Amino acid sequence: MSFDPTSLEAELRKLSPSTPSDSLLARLEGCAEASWAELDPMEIQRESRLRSFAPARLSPALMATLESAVRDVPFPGNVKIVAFPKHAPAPPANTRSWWSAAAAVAILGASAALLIPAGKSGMPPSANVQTSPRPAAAPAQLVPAGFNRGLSEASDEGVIWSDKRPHRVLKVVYRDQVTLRDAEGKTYQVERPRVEYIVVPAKTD
Amino acid sequence: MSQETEMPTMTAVPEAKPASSEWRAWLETHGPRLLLFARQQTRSPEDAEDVLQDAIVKLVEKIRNDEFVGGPEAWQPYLYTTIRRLAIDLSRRDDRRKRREDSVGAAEGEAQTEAFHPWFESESSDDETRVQLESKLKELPGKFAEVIVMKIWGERTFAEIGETLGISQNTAASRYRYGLEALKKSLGGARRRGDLSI
Repeated sequence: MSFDPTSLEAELRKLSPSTPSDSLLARLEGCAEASWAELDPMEIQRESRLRSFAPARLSPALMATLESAVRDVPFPGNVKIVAFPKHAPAPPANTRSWWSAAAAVAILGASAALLIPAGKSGMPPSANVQTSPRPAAAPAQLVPAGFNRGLSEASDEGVIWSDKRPHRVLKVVYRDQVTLRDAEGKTYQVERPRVEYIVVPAKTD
Repeated sequence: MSQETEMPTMTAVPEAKPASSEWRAWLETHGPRLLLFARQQTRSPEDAEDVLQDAIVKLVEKIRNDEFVGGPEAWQPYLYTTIRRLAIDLSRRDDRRKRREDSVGAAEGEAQTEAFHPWFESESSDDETRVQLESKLKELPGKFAEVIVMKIWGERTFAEIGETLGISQNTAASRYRYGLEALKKSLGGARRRGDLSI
């Protein structure tokens, strides 16, 4: 008994793969555009509400157990800093360390920018720098040791009308933290609260 | 989009604190969120505490032997990964053991134990919401719940979550959205009754 697959193949070819759903297409598009891992304001708001429920604290017994486990180990510092060479070394086999140094300087510059509040009065940058509060004994050669863009809260501020369309206003409050370390190993934390208002088109019935 | 900024504040972090107080501060800050993740990964509060303790001990041993690369900021990714691995190992051992043991009444006992070990801080004003949320979160499939716990209460990025779970950050983001959507649906009934503020 022989089996001829031709007719079966013809029947199968008549079937069309179903169209992906809109949500799957949106997901694939987001992945392709590298935006899928970014939350929209509504998702940030929902996340913020859930985060308001704090995880239960450790019981005293568990805390005591964990403390006994770490008792003999000193709490380490944040980062190990590779110092810039004081004298010109022999040409290295590769230039990677210098690229790293350049990157560190760039990060330091970005961190310093955080220290300077955005100008609102139209004054020249130098005037802004003079008016910003600086610590009395700000140490030189601060090296960034950490950065945390802390989202502290998000809230729905209601609906406004703009361009004859309703828009929802969302308030997102961040608390950026930069940790800096000086040559002596002392660490400093710079904290800058920041508020963003995000306006998104609102759905109407 | 508009933006407001306030003056930055700069504070010197005190040096030469006694190690124990620094550890205590670190444990008080990060312990609850790590324990929450351990609870989501394990089957009982006792298992969660054991897993968390073992993970901390492993971290400390690495620090003591100077084998850990990076400072405290690198501990959390390590701890989340270790907690998950230890929980999987424990689950496999439990499965083998349970096949040999009589499990009659175990489910009731677990439910009673959970009631005395809530996942979240209890505040009388919002206790009903907390109970509902915790219950629905436990009912979610584990692969969704673990991403939600790490993202919301662990404050991990999708890239870090992907690293811990061995998946891409896009897959982590998809699981997060699926999970939140499922949580929203399952909480829908309670929300309609006015029990929930979420």
